[in-house]
Amino acid sequence: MWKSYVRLLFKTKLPWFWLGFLTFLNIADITLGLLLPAYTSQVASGVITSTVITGVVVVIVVRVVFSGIIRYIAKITSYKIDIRYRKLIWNRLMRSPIKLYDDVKPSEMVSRTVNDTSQISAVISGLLPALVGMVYGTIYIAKVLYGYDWRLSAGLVLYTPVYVLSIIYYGKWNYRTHKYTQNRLAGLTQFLSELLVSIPLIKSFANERKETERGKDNIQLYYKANMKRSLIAWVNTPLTSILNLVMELFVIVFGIYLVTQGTITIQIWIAFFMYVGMYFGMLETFGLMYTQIKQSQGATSRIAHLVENDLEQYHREQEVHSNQLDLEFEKVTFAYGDKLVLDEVSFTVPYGKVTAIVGPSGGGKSTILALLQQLYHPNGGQISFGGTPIEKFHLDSWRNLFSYVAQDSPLFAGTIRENIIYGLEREVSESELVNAAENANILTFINEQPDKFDASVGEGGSSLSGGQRQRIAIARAFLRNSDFLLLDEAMASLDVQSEKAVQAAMSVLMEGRTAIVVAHDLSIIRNADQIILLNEGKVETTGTHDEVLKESELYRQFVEFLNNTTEG
Amino acid sequence: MNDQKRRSSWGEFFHLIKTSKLPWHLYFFQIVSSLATTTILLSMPLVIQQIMEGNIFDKEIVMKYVYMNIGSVALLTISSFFVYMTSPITKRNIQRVIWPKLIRLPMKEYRDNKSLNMISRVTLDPSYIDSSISDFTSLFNTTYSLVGSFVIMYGMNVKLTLALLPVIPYIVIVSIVVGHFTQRTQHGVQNQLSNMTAFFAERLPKIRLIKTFSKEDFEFEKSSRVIENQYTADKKRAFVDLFAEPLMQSVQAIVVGTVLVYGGYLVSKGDMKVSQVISFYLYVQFIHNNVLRYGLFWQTLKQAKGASAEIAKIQEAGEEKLERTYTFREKATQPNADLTLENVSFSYDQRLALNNVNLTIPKGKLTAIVGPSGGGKSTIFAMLERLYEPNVGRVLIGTTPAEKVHLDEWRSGIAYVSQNAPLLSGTIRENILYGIHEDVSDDIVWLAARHASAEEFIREFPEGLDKDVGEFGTKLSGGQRQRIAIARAFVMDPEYLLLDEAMASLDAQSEHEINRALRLLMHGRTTALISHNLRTMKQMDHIIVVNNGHVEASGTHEELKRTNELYGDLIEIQNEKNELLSFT
Repeated sequence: MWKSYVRLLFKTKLPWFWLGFLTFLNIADITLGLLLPAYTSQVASGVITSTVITGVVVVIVVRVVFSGIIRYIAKITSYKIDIRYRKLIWNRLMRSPIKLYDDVKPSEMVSRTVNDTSQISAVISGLLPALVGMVYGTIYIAKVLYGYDWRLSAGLVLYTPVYVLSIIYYGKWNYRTHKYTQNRLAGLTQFLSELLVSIPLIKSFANERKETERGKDNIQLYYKANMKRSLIAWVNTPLTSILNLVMELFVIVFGIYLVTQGTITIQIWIAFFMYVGMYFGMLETFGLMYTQIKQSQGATSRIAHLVENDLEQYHREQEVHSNQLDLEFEKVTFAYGDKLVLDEVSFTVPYGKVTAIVGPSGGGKSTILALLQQLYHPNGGQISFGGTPIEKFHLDSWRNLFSYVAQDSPLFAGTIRENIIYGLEREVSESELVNAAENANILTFINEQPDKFDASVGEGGSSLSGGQRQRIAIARAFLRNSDFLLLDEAMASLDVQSEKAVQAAMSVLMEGRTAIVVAHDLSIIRNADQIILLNEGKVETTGTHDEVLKESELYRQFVEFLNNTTEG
Repeated sequence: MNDQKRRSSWGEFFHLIKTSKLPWHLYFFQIVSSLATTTILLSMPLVIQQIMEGNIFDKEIVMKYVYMNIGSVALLTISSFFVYMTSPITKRNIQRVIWPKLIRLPMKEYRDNKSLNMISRVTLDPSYIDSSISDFTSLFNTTYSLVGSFVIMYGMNVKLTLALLPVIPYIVIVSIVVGHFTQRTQHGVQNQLSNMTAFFAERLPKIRLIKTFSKEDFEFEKSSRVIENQYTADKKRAFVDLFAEPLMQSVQAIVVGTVLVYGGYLVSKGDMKVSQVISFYLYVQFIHNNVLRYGLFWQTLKQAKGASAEIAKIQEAGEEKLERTYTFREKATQPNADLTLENVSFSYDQRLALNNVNLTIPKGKLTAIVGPSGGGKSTIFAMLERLYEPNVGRVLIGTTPAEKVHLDEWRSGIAYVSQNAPLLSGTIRENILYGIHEDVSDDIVWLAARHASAEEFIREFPEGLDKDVGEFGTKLSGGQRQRIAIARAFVMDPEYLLLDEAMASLDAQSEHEINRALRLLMHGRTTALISHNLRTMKQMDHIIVVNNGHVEASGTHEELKRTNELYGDLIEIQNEKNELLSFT
């Protein structure tokens, strides 16, 4: 449990100065607080002189002002830590290999960056000051009490571990049920979200009654967990009351004994009484701290995991100098986990030509494009560019060789302009922009918008249709002007009319570039210079359409399928 | 107007409390036992005072103090037991009222509300209501304790008590001022937080785009700005604390200071005993917490009001009425049981989706609906399935208006098989038998799976029909999901079939199998088909061309080719593609 904290502490530069300052303030505050019983016990025993009263008033006023400062500094410190960790995590997320994204859901990553960080910063900014304060307070009080009577002091010191251990033990127990309840709640939420999204299904099968019952069952499950948790939370009341009561009785009974013996005066006894109250206040804060640490445990280990993950290597041996070279796959093998996707695949992509990769789905077509862009690395074999293994090129300059247009082209919230120039380091002139849009067959649409290029595309491009998003992605590819074009089923999911518009744009884009196309569309496949037929992770055949058609039974079947199925 | 609204939202709050069966007896025990606890706590300072007065050697008094301590712990334990136990029960009972409503709303409501918001109607809102009720019950105790302590203090010393009274308005004012600024800055924090979350949430799923465009540094720089903005908002919020915290603490300081300074003065004048100052000191501890409680209660009450207003919206939206006059069967089996839309207009929000649509899906025939996307084809299906009610016009089966036919039977009698076949978590069997209320033997399930070309892949799972499909069926491939949905339609054996044909995401092989299964399913049923593929049009009995929310034309393929321009265009685009496809 502590290990992940220690590991995380040194991953980023913490605001040590602020942490130290906060600790100092805390100690000052405790010292001031400890002055109070000395004064009030005097009041209680009848010494109401003006010095005493001034003393009390001054201490109180200073503490009041202090409380604001301490709180402010504590929060600022924790927010400063937030910044550090958020930046650290985001930076690492940006540079992590895609594999991480296959394992962890994006929503989880968001909550790590946003929520988990603030849990950790609360602990880091709170733990050190609280811990130091508690140790300081314990020593101080024990010392003062020792001055009165060593037995009082010893009683307190002996009782402390009992108290702390009980709180810790209870805290663990409480945490377990808390977690269990959270899981149940998550279960209920998941159930509800699945059903609420699937309402049309429920309605068209008239299944409301059954789902109502299922929902009630889920509610009941959550209720049971909740009840258990409540009862355990309840235990806290008698537990702390009894712990406090025992000590209080000790103080009263033993104190009275000491007073009768004449060992201490009533005034000291009252002061003692107050010190003990304060002392247990501190211990309780520590208990709370403990619970907080316990609860942030999950967050910490999740972040620690994220922060210790391997990053992609960006700086390598050389820039990409010439780009008029052939790409070569040589016995490339790749597996997602246990699942073998590519099995010793070899082929060449000649410069300036159009290569189409075809075959049944799940055959590894998209994986080839991902490997080319070094989003993943082959488990075996080699990909080379003009004879140089591609791992030797700086990653940025390598990826800049390619323009990738996928089936569902993602846009960012923002304007059309921002989306078209995404990824360009240089300034883009207006005429260039217009040109790209025109080539992508989207200029008419843009001009119809009241804000032209500055029209907002909505979150994730949601205010545009699929065909329009696709054409914006193509305009982006025009501006990027890379030598290699990777099209991954870029035409699927469009209706007949937008398909036509996109297709026209695409053929302009492909002119004079090396293109690698994954497609189910015969019109594209037929015009390719080279076809690579991929089946179950292996290259069946390569060649032109006519060659492959002659050679491969599978391809004949495949073409037949494409022809037939579109007939319904 | 505004006032009226406010009053009615209180009404909603009370109405909700009334309709959900709450454990009133537990609340009663809560109140009684906490009042008892407070009684002891209130009399304790008096005993302490006696001890302080020097009766420390009086065993009786000391024992009394000890017993009272033990008694108060025992009573506190009991009262908090009721408090802790009541909350889960209350929450559950409210949830039980909300959930059945939530799942029976008209389709429109689900469109207007994000599903995430609707979830919090069940998960979050009941907690607000619960805490407002339990805060309310604790208010009895608060009042009792506050009044009690003042009465006792008044009995001891009138002057000092009166000197303490102005503290109450002070607390109220401070709380309001602090609350105001806190809320304002908190609002900024929340805003920034959702900005930041949105920023991260938008980028993470698009990591491939970022990487392939080598924009990692750029996105990191951008994130710095968002993160720093969050810090600025947080800092503003913390700055309020710099003043708020001392202000809140000052209440305690003023109270204690008054007791000590003014009390000391009274002692020196001989109007008061030192021991009385001490018990005053103990009593004033009650004031602060109790007054703050009122403020807290006001906060939770406001939240609860908001929550119940949200819940009330759901209750007011009304349920769909399933029970109507006729059974679906008696209407559907008549010979002329065509499905007809008559002068139907419909709009989602502002956007008119269907504008005076007239069309007929003839019984026993195969009808295609074609047209550009966004033209209203899917909305026509939603009308036929009666997921929405038309704003104008009506839906007929034969000559009977649809409103007169039982809604649940209608929907299960007209099966809707859509492009992204939705499954729910559970086993394959549960999904195939979805919506079937009677027991069905495995033989029938397997038969349906075979008809749907799903048998083979189901047999490949070691668990067979008991294979868990995952949330939304994500453990299966798209083609597999689709075939399970088709198997489902086979088991249902509906008279009418609505097919939304779009298989863009499937590969050629599974597309072929699905087509085979669909053809089998269509056999002998009245079918309406949304088609994106015009090569099949010759096989259709009847074609309806839909564009811009109205029916452009209808007829057979040959007729339309001659008479309708849009249809001609669509066919031409298709033909161009066909030419590319033909190989020699």
